[in-house]
Amino acid sequence: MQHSNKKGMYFKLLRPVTLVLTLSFATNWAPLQAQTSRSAVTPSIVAESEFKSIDEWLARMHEAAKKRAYVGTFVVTSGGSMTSAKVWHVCEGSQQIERVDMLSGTQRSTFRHNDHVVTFMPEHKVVRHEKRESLGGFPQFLQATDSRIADFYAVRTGGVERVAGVEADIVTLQPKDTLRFGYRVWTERKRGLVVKLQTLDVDGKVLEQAAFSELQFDAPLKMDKLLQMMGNVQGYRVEKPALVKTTASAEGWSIKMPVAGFNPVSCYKGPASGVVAAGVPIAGDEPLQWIFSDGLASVSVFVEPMDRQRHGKESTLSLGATQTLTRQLNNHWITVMGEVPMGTLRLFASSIERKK
Amino acid sequence: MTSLTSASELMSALADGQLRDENLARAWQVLQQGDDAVVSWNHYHLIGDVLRFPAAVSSRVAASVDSRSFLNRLNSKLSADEFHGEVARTSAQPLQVAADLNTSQERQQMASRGTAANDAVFRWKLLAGFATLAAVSAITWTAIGPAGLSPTSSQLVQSRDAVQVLVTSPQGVIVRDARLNELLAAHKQLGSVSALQAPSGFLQSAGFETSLGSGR
Repeated sequence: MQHSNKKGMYFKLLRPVTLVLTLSFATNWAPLQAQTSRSAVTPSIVAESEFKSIDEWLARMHEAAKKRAYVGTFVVTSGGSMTSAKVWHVCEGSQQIERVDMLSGTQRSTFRHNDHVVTFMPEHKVVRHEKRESLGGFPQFLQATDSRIADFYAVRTGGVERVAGVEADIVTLQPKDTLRFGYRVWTERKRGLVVKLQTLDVDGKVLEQAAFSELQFDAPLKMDKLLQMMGNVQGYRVEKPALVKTTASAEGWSIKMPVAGFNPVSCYKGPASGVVAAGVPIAGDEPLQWIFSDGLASVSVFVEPMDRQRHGKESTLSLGATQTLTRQLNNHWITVMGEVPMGTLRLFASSIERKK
Repeated sequence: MTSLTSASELMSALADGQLRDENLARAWQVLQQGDDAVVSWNHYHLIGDVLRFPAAVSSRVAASVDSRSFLNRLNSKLSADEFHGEVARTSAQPLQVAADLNTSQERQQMASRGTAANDAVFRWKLLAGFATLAAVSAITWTAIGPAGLSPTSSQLVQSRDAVQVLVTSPQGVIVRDARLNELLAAHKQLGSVSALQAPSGFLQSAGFETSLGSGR
């Protein structure tokens, strides 16, 4: 009696959940799908800026990002939520500086000077300093990953569209297998700056979209002015996440079966916390982060000691283009995360192996 | 709501926020009179908690004595106040309450707190019960595991494994799990290794942190 009642309760709870799931899914995706179909019907015009290969096209794109100065508003739509930011970008010689101010959600200003990133969080009066190696230039990036993008993606040009007031060529990067998502990229015709980017699932549905809604080129901006703002941390507490670069093998981890196209890029661990509780030193809170990339998509494998309080069920989660999968591996808790299909994360999760 | 005979069924429906009018009045009566009803009321809330916050349940169990005294206080308030209609009217706004109430940390605090600042507002407490249940329907996405779970597995098993991770809010989707938030931010910051990253990749990650309100 009691048992059947409990069971009834589970179903009662489950019903509204399922219904709302279906509904929110439908409402979340409707506008995005409309956009997809609109661009699909755009008549295909031969692009002025024909390119010979995917690498050449990507290199042109990166050159454009380095050389153009602009001010614009950038909108990211992902998994039913939307964020927008105001962007300033200035280049002088080989120097680049960028300022991104969030227009939605928590107030935040991020400055990037080459690979040095400074984030101001006025709400907490905290400023965070970081170095981002992954923000290196394109040729270095290709060398670092030793990835052959063209082996895993087919590139297709498809028409011209106006985005944020500029004419843009549309290029589609179609995955050649089911291990990665596709991309549709809008690059400004004159120089090749990316003005819009969509991440597409296996069926071509838009999972995530990032685009300028408004863009002004060659705005009168001065680099030293931005550098000055970036350096003005008065009244702020400065935080420097002390992540340590390491290798997976040094930490005792390896991958049994490499996932096609995905090469290890880097690996970080947190510093020891220095905290000792009940005579036992507590490990640093930061998990080991092992990063893989196929050149376009990336996957992070997080490894941390199993903590029964915190780590519950093995689970999966989809958030826009970002998929997450958790798994227990003996005494460790593995979180695999990336802008790739769930099946790819499963391959990673089942290939991760403890060596020692 | 048709014939609800047993006290247990009444409590189940009450916990679900499905009762109106005379059924609601009857449920309160039963609660005031029978210890069995109080036990099933607690059971149904415990089940709800297991579904939502497996980790928080142990502390909730520890605090069940507290919930009993809450019911006693509720009973004394009930006899002094008229409010049957109130509940029906106010039950349309539980989501707002849920948004403030639903992190497991806050729940644990709630469970361990003796008296809340709004102790006098008994209706608020009553609503909290409805609110946590209603919050379940605010999920936009649930993590259902384990990963390899076949679609033919019974719904019961899935519902046990469902963990509320995402909630919609006027600001967009909020990830309720602080640790997951940190990992997502770390992935976006260090793991965004893509030839497509400049400039949009950097912008996307800069925007992402803020939309989740957490970074490391």
